[in-house]
Amino acid sequence: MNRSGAGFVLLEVVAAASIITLLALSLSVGLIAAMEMNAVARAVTQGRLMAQSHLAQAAAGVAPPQWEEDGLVSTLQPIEQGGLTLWQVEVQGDKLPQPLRMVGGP
Amino acid sequence: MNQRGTIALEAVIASAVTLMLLSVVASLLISLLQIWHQDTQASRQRQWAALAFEYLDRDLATAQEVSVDAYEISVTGPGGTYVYRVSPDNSFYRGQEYQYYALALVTDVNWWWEEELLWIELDFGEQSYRRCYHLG
Repeated sequence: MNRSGAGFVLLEVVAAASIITLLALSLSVGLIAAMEMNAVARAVTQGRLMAQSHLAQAAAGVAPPQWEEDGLVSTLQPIEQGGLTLWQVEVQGDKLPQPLRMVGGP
Repeated sequence: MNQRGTIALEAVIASAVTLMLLSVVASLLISLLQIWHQDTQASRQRQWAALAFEYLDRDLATAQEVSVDAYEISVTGPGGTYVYRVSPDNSFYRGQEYQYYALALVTDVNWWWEEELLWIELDFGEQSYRRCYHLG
């Protein structure tokens, strides 16, 4: 085989490998983005349910100040407003882009 | 190597590269479809859970009487009595008299009392969602 022939074969192999890599990268990026969105949506739903549960526990007088579950941390603190004592719950987690806050009354 | 040999070798290499490319793309697509299917299923279950808890929130917020046994949660409110049950084919549904509204396809639903708190957990196998209600 002459040099130009060997170069052509090498070029074909490099081109095929590049196409495979590009395809794999594109698919992986799309997949990771979709999975990340789903994980965030799940964390928001879990966080909302956790905050509501923590407020219900506060109303029952059995709430711990801090509650940790499934990578989420819910923190309860009383707040005074117009002579009333309300409870504020803040849920934080790695998958939550921002903390979730919820306020409930007695 | 003569010209015919070179052409044959190039054809073999091109075919091998094409086959390799196709097999890699096919594997990627199969993996993508599997993960996409799991992801979609998880997303669907999350939406079912959110919907089921929306109905429970609404019914329990205005409940005058709540009774729970091993088979159902019964909530009596201004609109009548609603029951939450799991059918034999694992459908968690909300019913009133002869009307039934399926909320989620579940693996199991658990509910239990902890003093004044009613815990309800929707189990979908790989994930579960739960919350409690204060019914004191």
